[in-house]
Amino acid sequence: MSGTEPGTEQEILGRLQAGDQEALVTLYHANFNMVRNYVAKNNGVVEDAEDLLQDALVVLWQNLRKPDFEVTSKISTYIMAICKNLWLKQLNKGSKMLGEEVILPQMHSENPDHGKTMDMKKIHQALDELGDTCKSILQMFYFDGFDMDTIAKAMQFNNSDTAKAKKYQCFKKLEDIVKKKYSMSDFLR
Amino acid sequence: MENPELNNDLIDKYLRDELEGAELDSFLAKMESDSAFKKDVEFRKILVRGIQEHGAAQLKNFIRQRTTQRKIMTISFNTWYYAAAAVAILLVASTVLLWVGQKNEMQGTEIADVKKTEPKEQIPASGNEPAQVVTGNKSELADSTKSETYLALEDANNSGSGAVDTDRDGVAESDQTNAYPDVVMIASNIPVIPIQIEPATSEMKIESSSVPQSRKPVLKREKEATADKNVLVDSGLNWSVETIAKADSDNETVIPRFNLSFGNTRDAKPQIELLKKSNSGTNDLMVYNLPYDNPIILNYNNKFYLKTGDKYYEFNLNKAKKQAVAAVTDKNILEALNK
Repeated sequence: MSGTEPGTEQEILGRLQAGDQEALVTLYHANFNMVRNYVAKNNGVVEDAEDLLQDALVVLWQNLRKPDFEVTSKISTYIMAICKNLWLKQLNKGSKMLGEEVILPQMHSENPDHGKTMDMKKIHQALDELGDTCKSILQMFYFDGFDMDTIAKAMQFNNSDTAKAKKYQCFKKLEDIVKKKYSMSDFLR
Repeated sequence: MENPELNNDLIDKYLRDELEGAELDSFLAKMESDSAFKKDVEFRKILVRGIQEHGAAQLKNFIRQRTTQRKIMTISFNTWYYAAAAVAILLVASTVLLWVGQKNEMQGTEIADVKKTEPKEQIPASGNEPAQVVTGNKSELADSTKSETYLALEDANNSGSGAVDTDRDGVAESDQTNAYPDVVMIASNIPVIPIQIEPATSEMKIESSSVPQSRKPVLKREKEATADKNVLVDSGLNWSVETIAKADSDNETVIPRFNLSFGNTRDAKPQIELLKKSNSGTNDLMVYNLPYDNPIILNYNNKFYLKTGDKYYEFNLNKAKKQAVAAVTDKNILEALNK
């Protein structure tokens, strides 16, 4: 199978927007052959295609909830476009992505990363110290891009205000952990 | 913007690209004029990026696990499917061959007797026309299509009666000549087709079918002349294999995947070298002086084993240097790995 059936496109988009991660698995299987063929023709191997498609789906997941996101083509075309961009970046870098490194959509900044690589492991460790509830809330807000209503429902809070207050507390807690252990320079190498 | 919660909201909006117009202008102006605020925004940006990367890694891992799971299930199904198909072909082929073999054996005795007493070459000498000899279903055969076996059987029938009796009635003739005529047809007309049945397929064998032929290892010479016996002289292309967790493995740990390269050194000592290690990604292994033979990696009791051919070699995933390996001989481990 290559691409998704037209009838199911809207259904899959709906599932993705509702936060159903299983829909990504459906998209993976529907688009894998196409991505594999592309990668095979461009100096890659099957494992590169797997990695690439996984990364592309992560990007799609994040972009979905952006305010300016709109699908003007088939999902498979959109996924393929992401894959091509990511693959070209990798080829330009001259080395392939490894492990869990993911190219994230650029955050708003005139001077991203100050031209250096940030040591994110320290923040990952701090996140793990937060506990599951706080980690989930922060990820749902900052990574998944869910609104407070969705987070409140998912976390079974009374309302979005509770979710918002909780998110504020959690972020503060994360900030405290990181500030206590590290200085700003620790994140720039 | 003095309220920290309001500040947070504003920074969040900025980082999520939700600020626009006058609100964005005001925000940027404050960043310009207030260095503490700017520092706060930058720090927050780092934290948010950390959260995003963490989330992305978790989501990617989820997709990887879910798609690998299905792949293993497909492989497992395919294995059984092909195994069942192979068994079915074997059964049909062996039944036919056995049946034919039995019949041939029965007629073979007679044929042998005939050949001893009345060789085929003597048929024309007998002066009897086949058309006169053969009646019933045999007569439908053109002389030119008659097989050697068939003719021999005719001789057998004839010799059994002592002589060719052209005066016999049709019934008697039919009874005599009906000695396995159908079997004769089958035995003489079926061409011998060599049947190649794939050996019992392993997980890796099915896995490899999804990999283009062009990726199959091709030995390439690296260094032609060197005095150092330990230097790689030729190596195979990369070959990726899935790790298969065996029973009793700690399935909660992330099971890594491996890229294998096979090569030979002059000292011919079996060695494995971990070229690159990643906790959740793919590990690159260089395998020296072992045959490339449908390799798979097995994870059993938190130890890793390379299976190539029918031998297993334990290797240490925490050892960066070349490690000498020997085939596993422990019967208990072999039994568990072979399950």
